[in-house]
Amino acid sequence: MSGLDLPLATILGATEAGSEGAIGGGPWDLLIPLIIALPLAGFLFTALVGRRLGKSAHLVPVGAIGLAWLIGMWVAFNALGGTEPFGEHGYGQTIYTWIASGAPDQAGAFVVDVGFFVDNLTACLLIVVLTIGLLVHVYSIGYMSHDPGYWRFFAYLNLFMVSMLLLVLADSFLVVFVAWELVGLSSYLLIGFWKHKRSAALAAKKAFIVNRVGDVGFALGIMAIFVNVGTLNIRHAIELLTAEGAAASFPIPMWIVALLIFAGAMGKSAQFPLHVWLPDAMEGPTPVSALIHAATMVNAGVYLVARTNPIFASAPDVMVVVAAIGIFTAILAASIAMTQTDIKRVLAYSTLSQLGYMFAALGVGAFTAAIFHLMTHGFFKGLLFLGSGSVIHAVHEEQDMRKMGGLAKKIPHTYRTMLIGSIAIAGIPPLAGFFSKDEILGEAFKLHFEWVWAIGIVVAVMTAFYMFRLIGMTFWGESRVDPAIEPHVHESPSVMTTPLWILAVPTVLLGLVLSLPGPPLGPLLGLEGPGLLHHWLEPVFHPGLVILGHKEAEYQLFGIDGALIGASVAVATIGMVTAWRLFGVNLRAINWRPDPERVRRLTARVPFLYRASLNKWWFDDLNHLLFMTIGGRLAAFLWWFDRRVVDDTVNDVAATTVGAGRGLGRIQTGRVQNYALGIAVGLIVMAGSFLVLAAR
Amino acid sequence: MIRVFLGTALTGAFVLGLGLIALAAGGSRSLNAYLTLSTLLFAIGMFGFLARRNAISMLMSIELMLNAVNLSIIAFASFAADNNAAFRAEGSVIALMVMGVAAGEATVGLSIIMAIYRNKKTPLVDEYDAMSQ
Amino acid sequence: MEIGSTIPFTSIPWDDALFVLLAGTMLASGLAVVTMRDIIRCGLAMMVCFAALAGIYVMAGAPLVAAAQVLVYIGAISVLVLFAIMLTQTKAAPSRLVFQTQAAPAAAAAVILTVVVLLAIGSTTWGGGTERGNTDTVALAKALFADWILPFEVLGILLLAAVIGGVFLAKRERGGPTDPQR
Repeated sequence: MSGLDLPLATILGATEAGSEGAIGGGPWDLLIPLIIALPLAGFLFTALVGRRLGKSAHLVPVGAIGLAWLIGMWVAFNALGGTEPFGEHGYGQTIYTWIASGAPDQAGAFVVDVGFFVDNLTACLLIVVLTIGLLVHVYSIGYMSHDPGYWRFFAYLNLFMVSMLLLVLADSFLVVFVAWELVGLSSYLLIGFWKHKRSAALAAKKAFIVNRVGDVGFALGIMAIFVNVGTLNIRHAIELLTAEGAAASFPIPMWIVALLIFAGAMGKSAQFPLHVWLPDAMEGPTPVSALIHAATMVNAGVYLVARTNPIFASAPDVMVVVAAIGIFTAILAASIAMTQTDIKRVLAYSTLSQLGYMFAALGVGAFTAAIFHLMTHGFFKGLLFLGSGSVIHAVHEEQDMRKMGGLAKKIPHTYRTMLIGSIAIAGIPPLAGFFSKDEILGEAFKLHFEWVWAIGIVVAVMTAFYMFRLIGMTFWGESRVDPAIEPHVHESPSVMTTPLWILAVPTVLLGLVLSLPGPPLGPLLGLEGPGLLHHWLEPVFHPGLVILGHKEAEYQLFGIDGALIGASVAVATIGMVTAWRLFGVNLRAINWRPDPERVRRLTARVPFLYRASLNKWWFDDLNHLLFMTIGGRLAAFLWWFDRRVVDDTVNDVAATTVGAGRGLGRIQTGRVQNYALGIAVGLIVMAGSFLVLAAR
Repeated sequence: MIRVFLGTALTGAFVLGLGLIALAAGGSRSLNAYLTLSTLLFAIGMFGFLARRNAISMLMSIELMLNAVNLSIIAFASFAADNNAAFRAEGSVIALMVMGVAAGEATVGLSIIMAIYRNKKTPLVDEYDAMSQ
Repeated sequence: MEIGSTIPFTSIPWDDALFVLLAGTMLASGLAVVTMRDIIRCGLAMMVCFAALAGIYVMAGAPLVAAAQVLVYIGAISVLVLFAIMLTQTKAAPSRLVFQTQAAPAAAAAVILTVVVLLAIGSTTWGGGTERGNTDTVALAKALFADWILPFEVLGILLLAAVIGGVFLAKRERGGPTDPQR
């Protein structure tokens, strides 16, 4: 394809067929790039002139995201509805050829097209990213209103939106990688937004460096894919990689490719052992935590694995690794979340735990369940984070839950929305979390990963427990707020509470909507067929499922499935009630006081576990030992080597050069006629050599 | 009295001797004579430019070189093949252009010399050494 | 009385004699320009040189260029140079040395260049005619004001710019160190 087939040219009539011979995209060729172009324009505008705009700096970025949201919803609606040109398998467009060395079909050619691809999976991600992105933008108008870096914050947010949208829309592994790094960059910028705070700067650095570890894996994975099939177009590469009998001829075995890609996913989605950056990332402003570190960016890894599901399906051993790491992260993070006292850290570990669920689902082969949980989690975790931001705002930037309590009356909107979010994440029907989490656990059990199910059930108890511990410590019981602040506690402005209520809607309904008319409620209501999300994602995951050979089991509401649902609801209730017992509850029907004495006795009984949880299982200390102490020694040696051997060599070379230059500098007398004599000599040489050449 | 006569005679002989170079090169009906004259004038100008200390002398030398080039242009035009009138006219046009540019160059050059002179209080170029710093 | 084509009593053609005279004058005064100690005499010698050159232009059949040479060089540029000389000449610092240290290499370079170019001229067969011809002034005017009108106008603008630039550069800065009003 030439470099000229810009969308505009396509609109103007120079219709070019898509790479798979689909019909021209018509207006979509303009609309899809616009989803990215609008935030990009907002970013550029705000970055260049935002400083002058002062308190109205949010207008352009929020407007850009608003427009992008409208377009994105229209695109997603059409893609999910199967309108032409999307059809069942999505629609791809090529914007231009980024790298063109050799003809596309020639052996050894390296061709990278920058293009966008929208299928049902992308559409689902677009809904999550754009909706939460828009709400977080609106929320930030209120949350950041007193910050001197107001315009900078919105510029960064828009940059993040550009990167994230590019990541889900990109058609090529290389472009995905670029977006991957861009989200890393914007995450770094936003974590370290309060750059004068040392802990924020360190957290930003930590996030960046830990992410690099995963990115190396992803980069190597991309190279491995290119070595194997010679193309970086995602769909084409997957097609070639999973072609019948092709695996034998690959120089790099499939399991290595899958493992490398998973390494990238682990970094971005903060899976063990690369999970250490996410809790520290809470140093950033709370809207950032909600948008990037709960609802969107950390899902990139899940998206990547889901997108490349046939590759993973061809490497079943790696699938087990994915499931193991996922479920291990889930229980590890949940155990830490149970004892943390910083409200945002509890949510951060909860995010880790829920991401672990998603990877466990991917690992057992329940791709749809993973995306289901991704969507519902995005909404309710976004809600919880924004709610926690509202709480922090109310008690004057205090994040320690031990200095909260009894806030329910004072900030009723925040309280109610956060309660809804907590019920959802705890897995109480009929809220969203119940459906997605139950589907993950149920699929794990039915696909004979009983150990994943067993650990998952334990995590479910813990999830319900720590969420209601959070609610109990924050909203119920006696107030422990600093008496100096107490009278000033106030509900946030409506620009902040409105997004909370808007997010509460999908938190309640999304699970129901996406699972109907399928199980678990469909059969009960006499409906038939797969759930809405299953219907949407079936074309995306079909290749992977075919390779895995999973059979769709008969759904038995009054058999195995019903039992599994009953088990998960029961454990969720157990966790919730335990938390109520220990940390109090103040609902209309139930009114228990918190019981700190019993908490103390319980923790004293298992001191090791308690300390381990409180100290995050010493992972930060382990890293400190490995990379700071031992690595520091190594670095000191290398520094010595660098100074004595490398530097001295360079310095000697430099000294020689300086000496030579000083000697030659005498030629430069600064007298114009000396230079003119040089010109004259040059003229003579030229004329003379011309004469010699002509005479020959 | 004798010295004046002798000086005049010597000068005249010198002039005639130089002129004979032109005759030796082919006389007024040969292109080579004009080109030889042009070369000599150019070399004189180049020598002056490279050797004189005074900035205005250098400028005059540049004028000599420009005129030498003009002379060769005119000479080439004059000996046009087949008596080509258009070619001849164009040679004159180019010579006129060179003159115009030379006039501009002289104006600006002299102004620059005046400006430097005001700062440095000397017209001697070898005392302008700002470029060595 | 008719003057023959040759000098009476010799076989030397008049034009050759004139040519020798003009060429000699031009070269001699050119040498004077670059060698004389007194710079005002240098300026005057330059005028002589240009006058002789104008004569050579006439002999080469370019009378209009010769006229322009007289107007531009003898009339304008020489006067400009003489003024500049008088403005910069200070009695306190007469140039004790006419030439600077690199005079010898400069002379060598000039001689070598002359030899090289003369060799080139001598060894080249020019494709042109052997007769010198006169430039038709009408043809010149047509060329200048039809084909070459754009360069001609551009040259006008260049000269205007040069005049403005010259005025700007030579103008005394107000309040500068040499401002007499200070």
